[in-house]
Amino acid sequence: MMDNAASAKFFFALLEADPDTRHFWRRKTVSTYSEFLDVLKDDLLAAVLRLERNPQLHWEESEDETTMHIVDMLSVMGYGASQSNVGGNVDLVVELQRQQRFMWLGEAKKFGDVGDLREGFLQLSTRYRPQIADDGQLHGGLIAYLRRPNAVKCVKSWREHLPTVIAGCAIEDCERRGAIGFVSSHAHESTGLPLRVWHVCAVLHHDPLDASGRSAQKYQERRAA
Amino acid sequence: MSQLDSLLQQLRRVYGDGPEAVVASNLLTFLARFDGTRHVTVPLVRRLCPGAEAGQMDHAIARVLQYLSGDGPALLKLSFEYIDADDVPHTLEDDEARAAIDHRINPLSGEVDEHVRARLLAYFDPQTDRIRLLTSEPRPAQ
Repeated sequence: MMDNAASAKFFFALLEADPDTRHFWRRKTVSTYSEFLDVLKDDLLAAVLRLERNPQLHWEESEDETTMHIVDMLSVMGYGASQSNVGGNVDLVVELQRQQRFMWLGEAKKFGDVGDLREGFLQLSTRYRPQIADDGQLHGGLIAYLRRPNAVKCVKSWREHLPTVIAGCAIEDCERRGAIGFVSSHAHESTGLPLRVWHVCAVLHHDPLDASGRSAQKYQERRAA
Repeated sequence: MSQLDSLLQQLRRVYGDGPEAVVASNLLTFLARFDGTRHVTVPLVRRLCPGAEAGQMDHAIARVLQYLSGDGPALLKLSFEYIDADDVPHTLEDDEARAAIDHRINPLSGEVDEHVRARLLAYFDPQTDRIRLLTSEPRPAQ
């Protein structure tokens, strides 16, 4: 007689109860690029939210160090994730090998100002070659690590600036990220195909104003800077 | 750093001092020693980890199985068997497993069966060569 804990019923209930394993089956059964992209976006968002739970731990990190956390989180979820070279120095490569190989490229930038994101966007859209999906489009991502206050205002400034960077760039709202994310679409220069970029802000601002925060030297120095 | 240490370090970076790295280490050590093992299940891994017998570490075990069967390590392969009324196991192809999990289709009858998941054995098939390579690599002194 099979141990109940060995059954698929038990195992899938276990997976469903943990945010880290909830999408396990979706990842295992991906059969099209659209399915891959859909679950990846959910998982990438979960990774960003995890960073945001403890912004104080990421305050002094470099871009690469923060991105490494995302690589680690996606890896333990089951993706082949890495910071590696694909046609240049792309920050994030995420893959799943099923009946075919699915790959997604992401650029990560410290969001000091729109100039930082402008460079990241141009790298993503002109230096690298994202995979052509089953919908005939290219897909990529720009992850903005923001350590300044008012993420809504910062993302809005980037969203308004982007059409000046790429002519004919269309902007759409982002359901997953609300006012601190959006999707852009424009004709990829090399292929002429639409390139859809998911712009995700990771809110890593941390400036506690309670009594302890007001008096702590590191926060005082940060405010003075 | 050996590949095994690198793998365990990645678990520690994500889960800190949680049991995940210990679960992974115990499981891989067991599989390297008993390389004829073909069915890695939650109950098996529980028996390899002190304190896990009553299910206290089940979430950690699921996370480790997810990771080790992922595209990075690729040390385990998810598989299913249907256990019929006579307790005879029937190995499922991928499409049969999907039909059973997603649509409750009994792989023997082809009919909808609301209880089919309870009769499916969910297990992981160790990729022996890869595990052997991983665990035979010399590790720096701890």
